[in-house]
Amino acid sequence: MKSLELLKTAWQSLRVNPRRSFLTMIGIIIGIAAVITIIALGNGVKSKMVATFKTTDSGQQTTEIDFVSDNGKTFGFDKQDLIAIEQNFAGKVVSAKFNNPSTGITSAVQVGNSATEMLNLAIVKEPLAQNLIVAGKNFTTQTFTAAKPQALISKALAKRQYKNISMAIGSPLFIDNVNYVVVGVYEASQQADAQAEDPTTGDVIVPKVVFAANTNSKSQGNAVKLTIAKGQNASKVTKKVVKYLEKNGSAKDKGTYNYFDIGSVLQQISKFMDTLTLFISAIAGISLFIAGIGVMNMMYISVSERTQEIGIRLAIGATPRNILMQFLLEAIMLTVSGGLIGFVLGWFLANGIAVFIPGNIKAVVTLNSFLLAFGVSTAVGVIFGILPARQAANKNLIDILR
Amino acid sequence: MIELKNINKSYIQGPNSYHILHDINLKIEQGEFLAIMGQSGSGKSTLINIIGFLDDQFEGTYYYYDHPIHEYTRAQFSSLRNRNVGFVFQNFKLIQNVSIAENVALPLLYAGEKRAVIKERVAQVLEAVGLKGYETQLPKNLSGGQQQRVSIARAIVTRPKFLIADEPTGALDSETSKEIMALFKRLNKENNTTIIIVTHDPNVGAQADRLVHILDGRLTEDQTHRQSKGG
Repeated sequence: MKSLELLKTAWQSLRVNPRRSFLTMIGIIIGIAAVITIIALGNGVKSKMVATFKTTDSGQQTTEIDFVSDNGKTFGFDKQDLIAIEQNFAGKVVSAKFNNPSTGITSAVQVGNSATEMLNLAIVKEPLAQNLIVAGKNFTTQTFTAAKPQALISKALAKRQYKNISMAIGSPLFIDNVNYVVVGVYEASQQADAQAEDPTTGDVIVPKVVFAANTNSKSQGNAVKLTIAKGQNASKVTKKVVKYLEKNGSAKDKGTYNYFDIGSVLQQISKFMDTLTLFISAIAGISLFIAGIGVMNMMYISVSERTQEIGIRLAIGATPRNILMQFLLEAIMLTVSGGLIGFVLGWFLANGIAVFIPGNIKAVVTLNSFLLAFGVSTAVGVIFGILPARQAANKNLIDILR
Repeated sequence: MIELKNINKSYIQGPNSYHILHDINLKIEQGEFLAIMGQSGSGKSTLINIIGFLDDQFEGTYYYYDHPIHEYTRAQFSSLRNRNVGFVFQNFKLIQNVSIAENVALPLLYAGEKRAVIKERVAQVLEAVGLKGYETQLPKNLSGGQQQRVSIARAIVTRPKFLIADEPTGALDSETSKEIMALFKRLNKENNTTIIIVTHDPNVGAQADRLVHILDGRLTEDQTHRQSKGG
């Protein structure tokens, strides 16, 4: 008998009792869905880790050390610090560079004729979204190519300084004694998120080319990006650099050096996920086992209900092997259907849960997950279907037809 | 074609041993229309189980076209049944959840035939038993006579050498019984298919070309019947 015919026969038999078939599948669905969900989330955490440790092509990793000054004015690093780091950690640190932020820069700013104040400043490399501009003009590409000393200020700042926000347009603005002209007023974007480095969260926005050329950001900074040599433990090396800076840094008495070890945090999450995966897998394993017993039970009932059918098939020339395959295939079809439904359900579930996990983790469903769902459900079908199928195949034909 | 020599069959149930068949000797030629008559419990079903390659547990020798069936194993019986014998049962024994065409196609599927061949052959035999156009119906929607025709169609679909019909009219009214018997006769004449009918009904037995009686596991040939039929 051809395998296609066997499949068709199995399908027809299962269709006779759809409710029973579905109920039997539920255990498999739950078991597989649970496993797929947890694996998808675990994969998500791992891919997030990989993305965070932006490993370069040569296998190097980068880390960042921040400086928080006590008075808010002093820069934490100068050129000497960088040279010293590169020299003292030769072989471990490939390079040390300033990593000055583009948002949240605190700087002394004088707007129009008012007194100088400390404001939150952002630098940009391209114009803002046009819909954020509420008065005046946006930056243009020319602003950047020609390095025009133009500035945008927030609606809040404009309101504070002028009666009418449009009066701010054309006013002079001084940062580090460099003269900018206010060309527009913007409103903070609705989705403003400090973490996402949205420039509109600050009060003043200036073009990066102009700002960088006129400040000492090239020789000073509050953040240093370290490129760690291949094969080194990035986290350990960075911690040593921090210790070195605390002893020898140019600003060691004026603030603190911080290294936020995102890697170790993610590793902890990953470890937690591994434990959770193990735990959920154990539960899913029990669920699949019980589901398997359910399949076995249903198949035994099916075999005894269909004794006549088995007899007929044997009488007209089916071999015991044909009968065995028919019932085994029914069991497998049942569990694999359950496995595939469970796979899809797990996929949805993982995506749904990922929304509520902090750290912007996405569920990642891979081909391996699919193969796992497929393989496990097939295995359950075979393991728990073989005994009833054998019972069917070994039925005594004479007894049945009597 | 079929030659049974000194067939004995007994089975053990609990502490008791039952001797069902006693020294059965029977020779059946190709193209015969034979009826085996006997009361229930006489051993006639046991006998046709042996003849139809359903039962391999017996003593004595059984040659089928010179094949020593008594030496065959149960596994070899499947293909032997599939290619050589068609069964027609008293209660039709159709698979209820598949269509008429699929029921009839089953023996060919197990024989490993191609789909196109099967379709053509099924249409052919359904027409032969007068059920053209019933292909997609389910067995439960057919009358008893029609179901028995389906069962006959299934039995002849592989062009078997012989048919075994166990009380084929037992569940049918007399009018339908006549039709079914007529169908058997036609198959016997047109295709030269050997037909072995088992019955307790003398009216059915009388229509066969040759009649044997079985009583308490012993076989006796009805010579008068053969003479009256001119054979």
